[in-house]
Amino acid sequence: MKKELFILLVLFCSTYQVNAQLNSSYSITDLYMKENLLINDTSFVSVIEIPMLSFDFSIHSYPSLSAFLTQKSNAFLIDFNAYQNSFEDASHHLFSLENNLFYYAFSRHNYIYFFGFNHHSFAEFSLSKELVSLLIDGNYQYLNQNIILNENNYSHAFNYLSMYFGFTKNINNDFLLSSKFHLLKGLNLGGVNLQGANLLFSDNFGTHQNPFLLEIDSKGTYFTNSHNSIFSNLGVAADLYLHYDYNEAINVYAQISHLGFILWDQDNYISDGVVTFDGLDYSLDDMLSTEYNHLQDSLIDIFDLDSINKNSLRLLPFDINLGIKYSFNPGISELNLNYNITKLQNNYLHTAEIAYLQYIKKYNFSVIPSYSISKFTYTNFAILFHKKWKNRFITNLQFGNLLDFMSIDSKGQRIVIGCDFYILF
Amino acid sequence: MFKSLNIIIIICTFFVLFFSCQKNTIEINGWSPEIITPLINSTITLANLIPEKGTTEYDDENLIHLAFRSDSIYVLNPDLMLDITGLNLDTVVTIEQLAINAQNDPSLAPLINLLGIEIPFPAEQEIPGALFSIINADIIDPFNFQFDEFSNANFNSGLLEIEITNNLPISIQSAVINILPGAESGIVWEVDIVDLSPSETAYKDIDLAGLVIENSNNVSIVIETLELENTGSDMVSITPYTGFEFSISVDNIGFDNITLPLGGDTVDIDLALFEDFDSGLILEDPRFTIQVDNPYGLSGNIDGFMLAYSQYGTQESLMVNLDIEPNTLSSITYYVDQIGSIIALPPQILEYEANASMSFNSNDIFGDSPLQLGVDIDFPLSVNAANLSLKDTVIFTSLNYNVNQVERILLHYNIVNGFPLGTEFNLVLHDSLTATNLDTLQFVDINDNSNNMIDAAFVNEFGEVTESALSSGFLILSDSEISHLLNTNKIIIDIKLSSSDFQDGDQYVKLYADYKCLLKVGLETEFSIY
Repeated sequence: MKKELFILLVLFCSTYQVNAQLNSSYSITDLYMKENLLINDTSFVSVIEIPMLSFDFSIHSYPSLSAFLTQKSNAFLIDFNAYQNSFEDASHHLFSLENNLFYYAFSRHNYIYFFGFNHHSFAEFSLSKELVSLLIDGNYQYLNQNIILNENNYSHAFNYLSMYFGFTKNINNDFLLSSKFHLLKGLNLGGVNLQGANLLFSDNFGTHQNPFLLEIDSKGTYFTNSHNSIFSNLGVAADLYLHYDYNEAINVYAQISHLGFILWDQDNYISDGVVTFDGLDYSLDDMLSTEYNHLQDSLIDIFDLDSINKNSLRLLPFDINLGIKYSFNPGISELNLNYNITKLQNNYLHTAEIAYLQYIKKYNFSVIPSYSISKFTYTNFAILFHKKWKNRFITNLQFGNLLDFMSIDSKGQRIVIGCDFYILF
Repeated sequence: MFKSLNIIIIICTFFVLFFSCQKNTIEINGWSPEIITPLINSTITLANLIPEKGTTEYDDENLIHLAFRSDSIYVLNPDLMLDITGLNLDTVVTIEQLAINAQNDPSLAPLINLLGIEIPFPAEQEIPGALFSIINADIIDPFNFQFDEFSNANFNSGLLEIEITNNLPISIQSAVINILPGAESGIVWEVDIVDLSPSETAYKDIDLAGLVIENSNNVSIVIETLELENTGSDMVSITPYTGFEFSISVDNIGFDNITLPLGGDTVDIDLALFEDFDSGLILEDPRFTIQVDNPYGLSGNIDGFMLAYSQYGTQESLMVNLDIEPNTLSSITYYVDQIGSIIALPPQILEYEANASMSFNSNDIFGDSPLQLGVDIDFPLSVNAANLSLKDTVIFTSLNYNVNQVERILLHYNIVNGFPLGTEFNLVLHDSLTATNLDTLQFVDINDNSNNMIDAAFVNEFGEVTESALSSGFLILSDSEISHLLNTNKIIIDIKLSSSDFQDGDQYVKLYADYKCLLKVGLETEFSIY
């Protein structure tokens, strides 16, 4: 497969990530680290986000949704052939939705303290080429070939509530430090892992055996959280942001966010059966339906899932941003380069991004177009609109995947929609 | 005005939003998997196809026999024999019966009515004695004694005793009575009666030794002449019993030969013995045994014949002759030389008839046990030439699958034939609701598509299977066959076994119930899901 096209990602991008991609300049930092507004504008001491109205939603898909999903009239048309022809080694789909339920920051003694709540849903789904081809084209093509499902066959999804608090402070004239601590409450978890499963379909023409033989060595696991009591599935996470002003024009920064885990009370269902099926054994003394039921029972017994309940520590899909910002005209126009590393189930996604901010003073309005490239997404254009109303009410609207919206072919796809509404006072 | 415009805009907006909210559906395209999967390993034994019931039996080694046994297809009870050796017959001719018969005679009826004779007779009534003058031999019909069980008889001893009693109120002046033992025998025993007074009996003894009666099994009594006393106008009293009484009995009877018809019949065979076989069946060692269990001291023999007809009218016959020995079980067995041609028909209709000729006297019949005639038919299925049509059914649940989504179906098969005969293997797709056969799937050898006869298993010199034969191939189902396969609710397994491919004309093969044919089927299909 073309490694440079490997999967994507996107967003569990809360505002932080959105802003990290835009960030670095003074004003860009304002956009996604709201508490910075209080540092840079001491006329206000507090900022509050309008509850329930802020969210970030993103879908990353490889292959792109437009490659296999079309709409005709009132029907969504899923083209499976197009789906499997649109990726090489493995498909990969990410979904992230973060709802900012509440945020409040205030300034005191050169510190900006803040706290809030949010809800984060995340899902990741991957299928190898072999499995997709098996499901879509059938097993005839794999006659007498051993199919071993690799590590690219998995899915998992979870959501959790986060209660966080933190502070931001200028350490000196050059450094700014921001940290955040999360208390997490996992709500739902589920997933499947088919890595290591082995399938063989072979023919026995002209023998005393059945013309076909099916051998399955299942090595599947399925897991889900077992309890939802208030003290189960708890976790912690931390964010850290460090900003250094090299000079008036150049800033560098580093950020790590969602570095933490949830200790899930988890039921694991493991199937590790081996079955060789060479046809339903039937004699005329038997009832066909009875024999079918026996076969069904046998298969159920073989693939019976052994349930194991245990506490499982699962890392959050944390990400790391490293960036540099150059201000052409401080507060007016800035250029930001950002490098992002995001932890996925089995690997990391690397994304490089360049963003440019242009502030239009007349309208107290900023527009921030950006372009990013990841291992397989190279047409990711996004734009963010920032508007300050009456000098205290701020709105941010972000839209990603602009070129895909214009139906330009892209192997992968990233769809991003986000908004923020908050008030300074 | 402005308010009204707002209302109109709101209403229009509502309708636009309402009708624009339509539920989206999801449709699938481009999903046409090609699937292969093992389907079924069906084991079919000869026991499935020729179950052990009725006339089909398995021996200890599971060799299939077509067999029928009955020890008593004909039973001769001692009562019947004693009826012959102790013959004792009585009959009565009454005046009342003659008067009743005379009612139909226009010459006599007015006279009877004129004299006021009450019919039926009361317990007693008086009539003029002159009325008896009209009774003569002409108005008394001959009467017969029938012996259904026997026909011809050669007597070597016996005394026939005849008694005639006058129950009239007047004397019999003279009478001549002839007794005819068999219409074609030419023998007439004459009894002359003279002046037999009321309530008197006349006797006559006849020696039966040396008597031969052929083609008859009855005794006739004919009154040749009858002259009664004339009492003029005197009144006489009569009762319902007034008339004549005849008694016949035998004593110390013995036969040199007597023929007992065992009966005959035409039977539509249900072909329980042969129903699965086509014509030309040749068995290695069939046996047809007839036996007689004779508890008496009599001896003799049984002669008979059996005619067999195939469904096409072809006839074959078997002549049967069996000696009956006293106090023993006698039997005779017919082998392939005698019955092979009948088996090969196979018979659909059987006609048979037999007679027993026996010699005995009254002392030879004793005890309560009957004489029994039985048959024992045993056809071990060691066949040289055979065409068997065998069927069994599989109840099937129709799949109710959208046929239009099925692009193709191939059934790959390996048939492991353990039957020692060439096998034609068909699946008949049947719709039991309409009682119609929808289609037939024929499994043919891939090496010879023109021949749908699958090779027989290999056999040794004893006709026993030593190694199964393998045939492989595949069926490409047409659209109609796919449709029928998905919609059938009963599959009839239609198997024809044939020896037509035998290269050795003297080869016999044994059919064991546990011989089996394995049909192993795998499915190759492509369907489009949308």
